[in-house]
Amino acid sequence: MQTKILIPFSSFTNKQLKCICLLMFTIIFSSCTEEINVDVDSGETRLSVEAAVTSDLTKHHVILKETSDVFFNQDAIPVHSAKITVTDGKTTYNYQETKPGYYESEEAFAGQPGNTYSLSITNVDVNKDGTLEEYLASSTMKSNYVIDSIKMHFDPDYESYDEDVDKGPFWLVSLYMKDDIKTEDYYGFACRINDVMVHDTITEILVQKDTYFNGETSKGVDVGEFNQEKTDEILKDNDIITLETYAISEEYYDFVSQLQELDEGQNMFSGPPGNITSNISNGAIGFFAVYSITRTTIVHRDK
Amino acid sequence: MPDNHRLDLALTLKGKKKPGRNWEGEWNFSLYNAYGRKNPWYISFKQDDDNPKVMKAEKTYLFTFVPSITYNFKF
Repeated sequence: MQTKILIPFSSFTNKQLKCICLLMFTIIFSSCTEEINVDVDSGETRLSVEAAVTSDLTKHHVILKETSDVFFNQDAIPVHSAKITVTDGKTTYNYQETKPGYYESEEAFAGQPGNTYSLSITNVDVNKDGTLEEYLASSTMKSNYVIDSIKMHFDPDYESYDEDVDKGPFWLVSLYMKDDIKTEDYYGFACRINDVMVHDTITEILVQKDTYFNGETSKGVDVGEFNQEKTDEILKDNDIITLETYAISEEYYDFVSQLQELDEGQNMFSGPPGNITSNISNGAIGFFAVYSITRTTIVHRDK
Repeated sequence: MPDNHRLDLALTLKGKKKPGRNWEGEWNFSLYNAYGRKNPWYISFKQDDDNPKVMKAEKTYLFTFVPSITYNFKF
């Protein structure tokens, strides 16, 4: 029979204990990341699409770029001269390139809930094989959500959804609404201060599904954050706060969640990284998002 | 991935059998990854904080060298 002895800490002197603790501390907390040079193969160039149709009456836009290798350190290359149309089955909207790689609908239109919108991108040869490619996507607009009210409250020691931000003073937007029990709902949230979009990148949008509150009243859940240590998010008395609530599809919820997860970076417990899902055909990356927007405003009071 | 290699060393000191003692013990001193190579556990790609267009590769390694002392006894 073979047994290992566990030596109780009481049998060590203080000096020995300090040495052991110091050794363990050094092993456990010593830096374990390091920058390295890696040779990676070039990948096939693919089309990157950023496209949305919302319930706003506006000229909607599509941005087309080429994907690049991992260590390419320039601006993404825009894709020119594409033919882009969006149709709801009855009306077809044509898009024009107004800036390099930026296409705008010729006329303003508002997406209607219940309609399915189909995006078509043609006349592009992104992989440079001499054959023109066609990219298609479609998505149905959901009805917008009914918001009862929003409230503001201050937390001097708030832990943000954004893991890059430390605890700090935040103004928070609390939401009061009732989720529909009959439908599976997916929410997106972003805020404006005096009509200037604060959460203006996809990584700042909060997305949520109703799994844990299906059919329930939200009772003031925090859905908007204003970090009072960020210059563009500092609130003043009488600022007009607008909460935008997006009725998004399950596919778009997955896309944004996966993108945000990848943006947060990997840690020891992450699974292997994978490609983010897309609803665009022919191997393109990106998403054609179709959603309706509900706006709720409140006047901010500092006290 | 960079090459993955390491050297582990171990030394076992067996005690002499003493008359009248019905058990015997041995000390084991070992050193895992003796030359402290930082073998990558995984490699991740990150944007540079100052210039988001620049990507960097970063390796995460678990341990360099890990010493251990064990005492075994048989009876």
